[in-house]
Amino acid sequence: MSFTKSKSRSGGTGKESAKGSRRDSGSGEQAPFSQQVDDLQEILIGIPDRPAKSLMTFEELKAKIGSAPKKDRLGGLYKMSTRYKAIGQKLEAVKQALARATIEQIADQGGREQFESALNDQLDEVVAAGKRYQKKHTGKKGRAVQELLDDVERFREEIPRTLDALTDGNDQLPDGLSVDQAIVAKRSGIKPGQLKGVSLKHCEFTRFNDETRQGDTKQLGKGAVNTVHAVTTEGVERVFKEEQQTDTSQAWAPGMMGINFKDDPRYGNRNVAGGILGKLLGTSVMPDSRFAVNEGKVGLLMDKAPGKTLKDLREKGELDTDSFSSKAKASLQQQLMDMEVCDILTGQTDRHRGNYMIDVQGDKVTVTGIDNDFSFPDVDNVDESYVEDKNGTPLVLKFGAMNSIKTLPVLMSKTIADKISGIDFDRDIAPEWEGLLKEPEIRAAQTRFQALADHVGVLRQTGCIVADWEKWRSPRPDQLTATEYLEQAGKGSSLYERDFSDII
Amino acid sequence: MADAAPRPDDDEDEPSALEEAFQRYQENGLRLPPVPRELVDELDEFADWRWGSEDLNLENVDGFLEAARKPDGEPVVAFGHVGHGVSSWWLCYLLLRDSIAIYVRLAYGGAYEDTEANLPGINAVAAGIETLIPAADAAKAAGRFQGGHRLIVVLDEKRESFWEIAGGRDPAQVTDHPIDGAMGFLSQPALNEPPEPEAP
Repeated sequence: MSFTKSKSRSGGTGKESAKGSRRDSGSGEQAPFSQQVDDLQEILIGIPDRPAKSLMTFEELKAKIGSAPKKDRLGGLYKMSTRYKAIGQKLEAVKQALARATIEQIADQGGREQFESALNDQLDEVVAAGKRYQKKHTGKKGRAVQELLDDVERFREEIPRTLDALTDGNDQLPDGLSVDQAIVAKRSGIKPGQLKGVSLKHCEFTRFNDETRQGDTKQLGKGAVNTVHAVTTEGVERVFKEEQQTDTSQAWAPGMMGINFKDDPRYGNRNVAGGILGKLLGTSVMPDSRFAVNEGKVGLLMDKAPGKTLKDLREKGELDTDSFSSKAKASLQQQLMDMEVCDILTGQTDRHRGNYMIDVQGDKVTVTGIDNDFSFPDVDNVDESYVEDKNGTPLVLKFGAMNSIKTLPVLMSKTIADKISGIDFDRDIAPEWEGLLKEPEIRAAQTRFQALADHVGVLRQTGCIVADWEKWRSPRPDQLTATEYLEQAGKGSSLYERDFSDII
Repeated sequence: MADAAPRPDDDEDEPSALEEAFQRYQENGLRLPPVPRELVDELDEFADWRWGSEDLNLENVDGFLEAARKPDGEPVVAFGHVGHGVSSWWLCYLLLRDSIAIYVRLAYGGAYEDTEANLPGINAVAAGIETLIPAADAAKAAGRFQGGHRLIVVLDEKRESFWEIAGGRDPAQVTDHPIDGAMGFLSQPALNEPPEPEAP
């Protein structure tokens, strides 16, 4: 924030200026500039501060009203009243308006006026809906709605100052960030540089931020791993890792994969893209993730994987032949093969035993691939030794030569095979990765996808598509079980053979 | 092995790289792996949590092995904590000297692991290396490694663990416990040593 620029502005209420009351300790040292500005804001009314809290949500209103739909005498549910639902609809319209508009639109003067006007109209509709509701409800429910109406007026008054903060030339957030996400980012003190290499489309700051977090953030890991934290939101514990704009890990893989690890690693984007792929293929082995803000940092927020790493389980001797029922073993094999498919499509190079989690609860097994940073090689910059020329097509498959499986899957579940057969890469996958990956990375993934789709055809012809991993038998005359088939397919031919065949 | 005594030209207020490394490891409950006396003066901190007598890539196992399998070569030591993501973090140590080349990569500090529970095992590895180095020195002095070659030990939780004699006839011995394996080998009498006297 520029002090000289900010000083000329007006229109703020000044009420919020007291919140940043950090003061120089009197040691005689110069306080940081940001602190000096905070101190001045206590005196000078009108300096744009961080945007104020967003408008009350319908969920918050419902909690205040305190009446979830009840069952009637016949066991059905009472429906919400039309007037009540109308408030929700109008609030949703405001929310959508904030989510759809981008900073680019409000940065333009004409666009800003139009935006402000439209937003005020929508707030008028919330007020009208609230007042209609109050005509029927004067008690606790009416008072709760009055709180909403008061909040609407508070929010309305703060719109100009909020837009000032969002369009502040010195610290303006990227154009493509939606207004609602930008408000949270600004409130969290996020600077534009922190969003470098972050897909704006996959920022969920309104959902995951310091105000929605339950309890304190807890540091995970030891040593140089000082940016990983456990955070709980919506009752679910997740893992937050600050997004780094440069990679100093010394790992070989990124350079060989053509990743610009010094200036543009985009590891968060790569993880998000992997999660999206998993969903498209109907498998849960790739964790869902998105970008969040936490204590002034922007980072990847991943669903916390249950269980332990395979490395831990093996070292502690927690897996043996009794660990898996027949059903559990079948489920394990299916998910491991699903993960191999995902790894091939994402070009994941680093699927070592510490890089995936296993959770066994009776017959239920959960396999989750973590740390998908080293994926999506850039076909234009990849090290030549890791490109396999297949009929003149550079196929970046040999990445498995590092720590992942080197070959195409020897078996594949019917579910994922059918998905692959039904997917049109250009129509179904490429658009989903827009903003996350660059064109050469997507192009390389497309060649891998085509190779895998061709391989599905081969597996179908050879009877190696598996609908039921417990009952499946290989074609005659061998009639091998899935376990036998995977074990005899060769050393390192599957994750199951590599990591489990000697212990279960 | 390690010599933490300050050099005369050191600024007395500035801890040496070795002292800093020792302190960092100790704060985290870790035993500092051995730094040979001849390399102490060369030791420097090249990045947060990364020390060495040269600025080496701690994850370059193949490059390390290439150097280790060639006879002779300049001694070097490097160690620290490197990795990426939330779980792919490793405590690494590499040492190349006349009698022995050791590469260690142990999982440490990842978000999904019980670091405290793993500490005893990690520290036992450092203690094992302390025992292994003088044993290898003694074997070299006794002429058990010919042609400028040395004992190579790789304890790698990410890839394969093994031990071998560089330039030797036998293939690498793949094992989850290469330090124990190598110590077992060094403890055996060499063929050209006289047999132990029989009990009366």
